[in-house]
Amino acid sequence: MFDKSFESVLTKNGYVVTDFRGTSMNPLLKEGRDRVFIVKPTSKLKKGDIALYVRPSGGYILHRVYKVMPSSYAMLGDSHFTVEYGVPFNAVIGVLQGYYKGEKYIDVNKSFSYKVYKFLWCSSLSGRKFCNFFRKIYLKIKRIFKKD
Amino acid sequence: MKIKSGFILREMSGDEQGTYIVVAVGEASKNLSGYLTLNETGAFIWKMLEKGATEEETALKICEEYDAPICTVSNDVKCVIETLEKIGALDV
Repeated sequence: MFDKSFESVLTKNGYVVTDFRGTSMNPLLKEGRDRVFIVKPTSKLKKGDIALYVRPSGGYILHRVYKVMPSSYAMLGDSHFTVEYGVPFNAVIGVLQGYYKGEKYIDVNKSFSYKVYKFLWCSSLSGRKFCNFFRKIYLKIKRIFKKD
Repeated sequence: MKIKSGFILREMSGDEQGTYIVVAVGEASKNLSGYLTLNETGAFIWKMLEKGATEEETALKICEEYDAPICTVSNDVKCVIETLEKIGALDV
């Protein structure tokens, strides 16, 4: 998702701006359009924060904190349906403070529309899973009829 | 001389207040993939250039604002302009 060079900038300066890559944070963040402003976390993250963490494989991931467990985080991309459990606290190296949507900067701690989005997204996983289940069935049926 | 569209100046908040960063978005991000940090004077120069001021006008305005000698200010303005040219942020 990110290249390694920015980690040293983040460590040195305390913040970094980089392109967002991937589809896991759709519809909030889109590759090729949005740039993310990430800062070093100063305390333990809360549910709904967007964390930058390193996987054991070395990959850098930007996902939302779904749940704070006693010794780890559970993470979930906004476009995902499967929660990733067991992300250690020390794997988190940054937290999203804002993003550039085109020329507009959205501060995640100040923007009202972002807060509404976060509330709706964090509280609708079951609903989204339900919709996705029927969407898959619909697509399968569509494919079957197309073949015929 | 003018700042090209796609380059955004923003003041940092919290502990970093007084520090400004320039970020390129869209097509401009091909020239600047990271960001550029500016102090208050650098940001002042940026804002003057955004309005279309020349190098000389910018230096004179800073002398007025900060009561600084013209020779020092001219060098600073030149230095900032060179940096901005390097990242392709200026329409000359």
